[in-house]
Amino acid sequence: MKKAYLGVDIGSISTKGVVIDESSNILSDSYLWTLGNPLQAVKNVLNEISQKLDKSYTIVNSGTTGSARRLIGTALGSRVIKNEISAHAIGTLSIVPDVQTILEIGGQDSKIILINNGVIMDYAMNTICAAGTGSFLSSQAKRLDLELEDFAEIALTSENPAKIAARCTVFAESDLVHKAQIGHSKADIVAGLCRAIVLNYLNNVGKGKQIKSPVVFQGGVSKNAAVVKEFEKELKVPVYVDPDGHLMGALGAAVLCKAVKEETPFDFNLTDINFETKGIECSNCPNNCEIICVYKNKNLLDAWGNKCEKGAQKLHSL
Amino acid sequence: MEITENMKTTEKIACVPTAGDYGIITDMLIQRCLGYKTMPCPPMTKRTLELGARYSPDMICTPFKISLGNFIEAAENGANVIIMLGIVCRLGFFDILQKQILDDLGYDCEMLILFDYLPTVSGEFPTINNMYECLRAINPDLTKEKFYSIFEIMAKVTFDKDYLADFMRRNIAFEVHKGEYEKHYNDYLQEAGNVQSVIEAEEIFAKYKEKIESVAINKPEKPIQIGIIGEIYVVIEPFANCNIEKWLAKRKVEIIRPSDWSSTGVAIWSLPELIKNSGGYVNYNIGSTANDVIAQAHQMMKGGIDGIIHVKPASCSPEITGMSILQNMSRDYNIPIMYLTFDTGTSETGVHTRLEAFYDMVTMKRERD
Repeated sequence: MKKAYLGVDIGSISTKGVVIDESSNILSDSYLWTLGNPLQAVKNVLNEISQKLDKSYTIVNSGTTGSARRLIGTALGSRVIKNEISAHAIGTLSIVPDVQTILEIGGQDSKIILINNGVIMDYAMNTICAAGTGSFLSSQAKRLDLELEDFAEIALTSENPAKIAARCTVFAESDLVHKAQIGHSKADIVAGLCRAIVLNYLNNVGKGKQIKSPVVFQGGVSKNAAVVKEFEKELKVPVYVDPDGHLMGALGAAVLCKAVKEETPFDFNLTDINFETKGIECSNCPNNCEIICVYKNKNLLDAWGNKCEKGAQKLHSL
Repeated sequence: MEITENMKTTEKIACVPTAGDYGIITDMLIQRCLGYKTMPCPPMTKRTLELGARYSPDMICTPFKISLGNFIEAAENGANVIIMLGIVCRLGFFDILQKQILDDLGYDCEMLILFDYLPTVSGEFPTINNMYECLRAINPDLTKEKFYSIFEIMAKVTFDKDYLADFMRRNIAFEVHKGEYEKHYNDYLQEAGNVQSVIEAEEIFAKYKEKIESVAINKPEKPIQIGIIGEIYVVIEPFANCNIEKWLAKRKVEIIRPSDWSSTGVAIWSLPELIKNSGGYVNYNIGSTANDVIAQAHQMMKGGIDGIIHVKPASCSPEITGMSILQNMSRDYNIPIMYLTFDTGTSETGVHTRLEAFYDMVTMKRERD
């Protein structure tokens, strides 16, 4: 029997899964849309992974990360439930051991992680404002009647990117409309937009941080070659985009599993088990905590979200 | 004329916005100097935030919204006197606007102010005497001697309470029997609120100091230290900062939090001292408690702290000024600072994810060194 480790990253937009061996080589992976149903997305990811996986491997531990990490971690019985910031850094380090800066722009959030000698030294994440993330790009693509996938190609044809305000996407959007109405070409506007994303990121998330090479760029937006080019232009250092960049969070969760001493054998048959969730609003005080109950085959597995004991859930069946 | 039930309702019931566990101090001041009854604001919940946010201007700082929520809930429960502090920054003008909003909502409340904000406008901080003048305007029978004797007890209890709280924060993560510190501390607060003299306060303090200092702990020689700095209201009020101290205390961290009423109360009057302690990072007044925050951060960094968390309410301009200075300091000392902004819509999950990553970061860094 050869040991393997599973890592799952359940983000707001996409769900990623990887299985690695003891030397952190990726054996099998899957990347699917979450489509607002993390439990189903994970089942689909697991199905895909198990089909691709060499049957001589046995998964001995699993880990989760991403915004639905707790829900999925509970359902899978994971040993490692890690925040996405640490998981991304650890995953990236296993591929690019000398990385010093990780730039990440995802669907809803963006972050920067600074690393020195394999240890995270500092990080920052967008807080109140989701400006300049993937969802902004996709809404603008819709406005310009373009496919997000064609964005980079069109942008790269531009020789004279339109100047678009980068401080805030509300202004960026009105600027974009203005530039279109006064007659700038679509390619120039799209290129300007890609540049605005970079400037916005560096001003808001990367402000005050020293960005040192090697720089790795991740997250959905890193698939946009025009944004990568703008980053390189602005930072004046090469920006590395790994073809597996979207898997880094899942990889990090899997790598962390290697350090867990106790093994919890993982069974792919889990995909047949019925998991249900129920959100209830506690009415014992005006906090009205939103409590999430997770049921495995109709029995309560875990519940969370209550601020105090009044909202604690007793074991019960659905 | 016969006294009816109705007339009794003119009795003054005062409420002060919740700010950490300083209720015993403000109660002392109001009950003893003005002779008013006091009513604690109802425990803060999501409803407090919603009420505050609904009736506040959108771009005002978060403490305005939370305290307005406090006042509305207190007024619903029968409070008819609202007490605000009038110093430091925009805070100095909260009372006027909050009074107007409460009037418009139909609550018949009196608004009292403990410091005159006018001196703040000219850049000076008001003196203790200014507080006396404010109180005497309300209660003409209050003599200077009486006020100072009450103030002395208040100051003594504040310093004692802050000493115990600071000791507790540094050690609570390591206590052997969970809950011991909090029990002693809450008992202390209970007793300290009733003291009648400085001598009595000292006796009670000595009793609890011994109890708290002898709580069994299992503390490593060099535990991970995380500092909390920032705008004082968000620092001291757990409800406003998603209870970050409690989160850290569950993870074997020594919490260093210099901001409290006693230290900040002294610090804002001693700008030259703060500038001296800032190591050349700032040479003039940048408003509110931001100079204090810079000085605190510099002292922590010189002492080799593992990491610092900076908290502020949304749209707090003095702290925003301070942040750019802190960024330089963080780079020079190579010590990370995480910046968190709190508003009425802040998600606790988001804050906890960031705290978790920050905690991971400082522990991994420590393991390597």
